[in-house]
Amino acid sequence: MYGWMGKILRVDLTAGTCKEDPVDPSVAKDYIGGRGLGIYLLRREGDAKGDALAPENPLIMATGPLTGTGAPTGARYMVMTKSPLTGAVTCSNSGGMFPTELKRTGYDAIIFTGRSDAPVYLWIDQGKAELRPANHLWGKNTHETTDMLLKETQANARVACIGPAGEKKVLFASIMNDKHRAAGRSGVGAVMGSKNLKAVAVRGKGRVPLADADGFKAFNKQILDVFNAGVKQAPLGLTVNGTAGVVMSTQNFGVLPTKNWQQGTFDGWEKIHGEELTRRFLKKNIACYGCPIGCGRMTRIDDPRFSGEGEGPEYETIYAMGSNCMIDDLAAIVKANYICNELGLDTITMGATLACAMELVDRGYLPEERVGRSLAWGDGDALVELTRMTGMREGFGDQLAEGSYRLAERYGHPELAPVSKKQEFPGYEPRGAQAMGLAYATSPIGGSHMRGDPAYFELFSVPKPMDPHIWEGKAKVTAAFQDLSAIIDSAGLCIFFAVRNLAAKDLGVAPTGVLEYLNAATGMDYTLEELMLAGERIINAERLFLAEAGFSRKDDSLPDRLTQTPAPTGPAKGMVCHLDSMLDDYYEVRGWSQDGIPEKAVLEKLSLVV
Amino acid sequence: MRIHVTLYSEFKQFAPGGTGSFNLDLPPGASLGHCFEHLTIPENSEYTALVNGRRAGRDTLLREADTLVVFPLICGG
Repeated sequence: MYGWMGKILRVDLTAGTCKEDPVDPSVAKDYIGGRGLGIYLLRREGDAKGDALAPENPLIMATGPLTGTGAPTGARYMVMTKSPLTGAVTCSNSGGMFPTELKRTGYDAIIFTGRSDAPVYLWIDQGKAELRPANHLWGKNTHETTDMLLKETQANARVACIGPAGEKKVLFASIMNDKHRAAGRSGVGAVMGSKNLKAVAVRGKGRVPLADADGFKAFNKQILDVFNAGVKQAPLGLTVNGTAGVVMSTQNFGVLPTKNWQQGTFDGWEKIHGEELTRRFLKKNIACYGCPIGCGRMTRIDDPRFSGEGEGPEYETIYAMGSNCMIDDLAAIVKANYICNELGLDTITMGATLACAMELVDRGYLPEERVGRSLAWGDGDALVELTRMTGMREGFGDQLAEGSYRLAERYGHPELAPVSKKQEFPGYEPRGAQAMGLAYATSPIGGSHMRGDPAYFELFSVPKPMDPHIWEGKAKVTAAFQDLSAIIDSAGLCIFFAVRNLAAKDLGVAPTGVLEYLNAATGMDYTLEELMLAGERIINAERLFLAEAGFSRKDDSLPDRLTQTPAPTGPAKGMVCHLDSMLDDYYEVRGWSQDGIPEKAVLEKLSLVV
Repeated sequence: MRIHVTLYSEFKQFAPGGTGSFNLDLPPGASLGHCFEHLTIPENSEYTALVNGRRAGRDTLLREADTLVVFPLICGG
């Protein structure tokens, strides 16, 4: 095979064995790789109705055919499993250097099943895989774990691991790779912890075989020439201020979630904006393997109250821990971000859960005695302390560790949790960006912006702008962006580059550039139609997993706060999100019943079996 | 007519007096394009312009007391 290493590593943690499976070329073509391969394997081997933290739940790490090829941003891998936070499928994506190194060991993917009696880590050295004891690593944070593993394996190995949060099964624990990059969402780290699997360390020198190396190189040059010419004219905002630069956009559109999603504007926004991050904290840009953008931020805090060095924060962290908690203390946000990375926590759910707790306190539903300290809006010290306590499940942190939905339910007010399918939203307010609401509600993993991101066309004018206040006509475009994200995630590319540079410049966003890369890499001769069908197949396969787990239209929901209560401030003042109307259209576009279940015709078209 | 303008990031350099937020007098019927010409913002700039919080193009007509915000195209998240 080309573009693929051709092997999947199967690790049975109960038996302590490692075996190899060949990749089935027809599955490879139909599901592209990465996220697509992951949902294929999860449907084949997992139980949609099962317990996410039971040994039987497979944990899948899958690269794509463009991972490690040198295609711009071909640096990604996907972690697929059933989520303990949502009970739905999750696909949590990360970049850095680990995914490329994993692929170079000779494996496209790893499937972990079972549970080890004692903590272990997986070491793969040039295609030789072995499980090793990890008792000495248990309890260590992600940085300590990585440093220790580099010492006892090889200095130039790459490591993905969990921190104490994953060990303690915090429901939104992440898997961190290269210390600072996160497969952050939906509690993939808790699933890893439930298996007593502390880390995966990899070293590989293999090259990804390309079907048409010359064609690949020529197309790569063409794409990078256009990209570099654009950058020469005007530097990319992502390069200059990282994703944190988005604060300016969301604030001015009135969609910067503030005060636990009560409003979409924050008076203190200029103190937490990307330009302030650059001015006060940035040490240097960080790029993942093969990335010409370099949106990562290596930062350092020089503040008498906090200290530390690390990567981040991203925009989503700044919204969740900043405006959403009414915190304009950027040093506290940066510090809490570091703690999340070190303990292995998802920053979005952490911040959003804390904001929910702040509102519960504010409304008198949660006594501060239960929290064990004051918890007022805007308290940066509380953010830092409670983030650490959550990662360690200490004191009130043990309640925060269950996420906002379970916290709000415990205190009798689940309506205050900013979630879809019990997963917290990223930072775009759907009352002023209607399609974002539809994307959150229909994302297979619950509240997410990365499984189809309407912010591109509603806020960023990519590839063309659509009025964010209008709900009509959004279903079709949102579905197109979801299919595109499935293709990009499966190919092993990054959304940040591929949406702008490898898709058609109209709202149909056909994956024209991804097609060129995939065909040169794999030699599979995809037609554009076949590739687009593969994207749709992945979305529908994920939906079938959800349907088997009992999800339907009732779960494609937003809190009443966003659909019933008019926005109180900013350009969207007086508006609500018209989710129900968009859902009617969306199911029709998808060929799903009005209850959100894929119908026979679409399943036949995609060769999917229930 | 008088509008209120806020320019962010690199667009601040086009603000009279160097402060990014200012009132601007324009002839009645002026469009966003006229406003940009007045401020000498180059025609090929990549920007997001919001008039009263809604996205605007060069042909958008401005009215008395409008609020105009201009910032660079930003992407990601």
